[in-house]
Amino acid sequence: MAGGRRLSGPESILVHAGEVVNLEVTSDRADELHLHGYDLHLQLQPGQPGQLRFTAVHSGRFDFELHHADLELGVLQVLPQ
Amino acid sequence: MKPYPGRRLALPALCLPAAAQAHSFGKIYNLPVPFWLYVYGAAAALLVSFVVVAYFASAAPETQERDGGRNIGDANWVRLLRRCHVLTLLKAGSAGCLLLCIASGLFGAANPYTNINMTLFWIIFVLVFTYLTALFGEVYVAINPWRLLARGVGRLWPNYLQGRRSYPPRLAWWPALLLYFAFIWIELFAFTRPYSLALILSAYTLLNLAAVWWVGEQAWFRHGELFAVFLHLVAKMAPLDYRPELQGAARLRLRAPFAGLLESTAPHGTMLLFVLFMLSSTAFDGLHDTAPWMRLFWIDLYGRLKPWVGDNPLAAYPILRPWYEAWATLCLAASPFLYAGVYLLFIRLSKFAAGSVLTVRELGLRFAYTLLPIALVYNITHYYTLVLSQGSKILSLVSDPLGLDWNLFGTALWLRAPIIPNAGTVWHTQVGLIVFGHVVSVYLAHLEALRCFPGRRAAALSQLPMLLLMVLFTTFGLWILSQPIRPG
Repeated sequence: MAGGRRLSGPESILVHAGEVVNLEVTSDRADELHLHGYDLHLQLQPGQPGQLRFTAVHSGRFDFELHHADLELGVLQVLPQ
Repeated sequence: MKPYPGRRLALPALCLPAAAQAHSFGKIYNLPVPFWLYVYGAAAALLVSFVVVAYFASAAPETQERDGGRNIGDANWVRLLRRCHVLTLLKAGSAGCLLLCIASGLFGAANPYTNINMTLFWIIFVLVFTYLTALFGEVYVAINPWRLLARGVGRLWPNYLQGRRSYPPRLAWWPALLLYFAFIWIELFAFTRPYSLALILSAYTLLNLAAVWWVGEQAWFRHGELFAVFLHLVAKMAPLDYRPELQGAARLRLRAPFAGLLESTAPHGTMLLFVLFMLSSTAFDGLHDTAPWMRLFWIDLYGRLKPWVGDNPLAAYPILRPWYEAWATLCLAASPFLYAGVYLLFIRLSKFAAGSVLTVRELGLRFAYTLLPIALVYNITHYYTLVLSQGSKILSLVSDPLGLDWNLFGTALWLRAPIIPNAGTVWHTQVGLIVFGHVVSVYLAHLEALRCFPGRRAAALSQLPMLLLMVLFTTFGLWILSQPIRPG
């Protein structure tokens, strides 16, 4: 993430329920990563990689976004077991 | 390097993140139905259709009218409800909710998830109340908040409710159809916020009051107020038939579920269009979130427009965005007419197969209501997970309606995490419901055919085209559910 735009990374992440997901985001500005549905939040410091680690218990399709930049980063798709 | 389609498809979503929501409000977490389940569903629909036909062809009794149900208006539990003034409470609740939606939008938080009015209107009223109406009948006719407001005005202003002139018959159900279109457009494209929703509801309130002043209460709530017309149709499927205008035990009647659909026929072509729009608008809502739909405009059409708008998608996007919206609006507006064309074509085939003397128009009106079960299950399959994930938030929102960190009833912290059912459960419920609605529609259409056409043979023949039509609608609904959702 730089200048309010994404530089790289997958737009879609596909996992199966029960797997552990590790989402790593680096932004050049302070921001807040939000994963919808799971309602997980992560504060990002400028330039420092932030990691959101959790077990994908709910199956479904969940957007994740940066709140301050108001930017949809991608979508996490969790298939049922 | 050649950009791969996935990257280019994501472009609109990345440029306008706020506009990339699936629905007017609330996140839908559904995964597309897997292809194998889609095929099973479509095959099941086809198979059970023939079971219904075989049932009528062999074991069916002669054309018999269903008994008229059972009047239960004087039953003990109904009396108990009356003694508890349940209707008065519902009326107060209904008018109160409308006022709360407007007031909280004007004075409460701007965040759609912390202000109660978005959840109360878009989820509880538009979705939950519709499903309750399909169960408990047309309670709305007695508790319609706009009707109550009009009657309040009528108390202060003699002759207000009579209207200034009689309702022009030429208008038929056009006002309701146009308002329904406006409503769906707002739902899909206006991206309402608490404040704008309050303004829209205020404007709609004024419109209703003005229309009552013009054509009178009875005519307006029969032909114009869109929720009255919509819920009137939904209530025909309910096992409870509530008619407050009747006296005594007949005010409440128990009947077989969906039997109400055969008690009357569509009174006018515009009502047929309204029914078809119930189908096509939900299909459109599902379709316009899918990748194939986005590809149609942003890849196929954009490819052709490149000589004019340039090769750089980022530069072309602002130019194309208004055109995309105009194109989507046009498709939405055309959808009921497109459905009507297909529907009337199959009705014509039906008429031909049965050798009927009735006109296509007459037959089209008679069979219109048999499509309502398909429309209802479409609606439920598209939105019921939203009811679980966002509708459950109403418990915490009632304690903090304006989003000001209040805790009026001590429920402000209840159900903070959304309810997310397992994707496998969701898929099976969706496909099961769609097939169920399909069977009900096929069954009702066959009963209606026995009334329209002389003899069982003619009725059975007439139903082959109708069957094909319903399999088409059902397979299309399943297909939409199985399509990949656009990125973003």
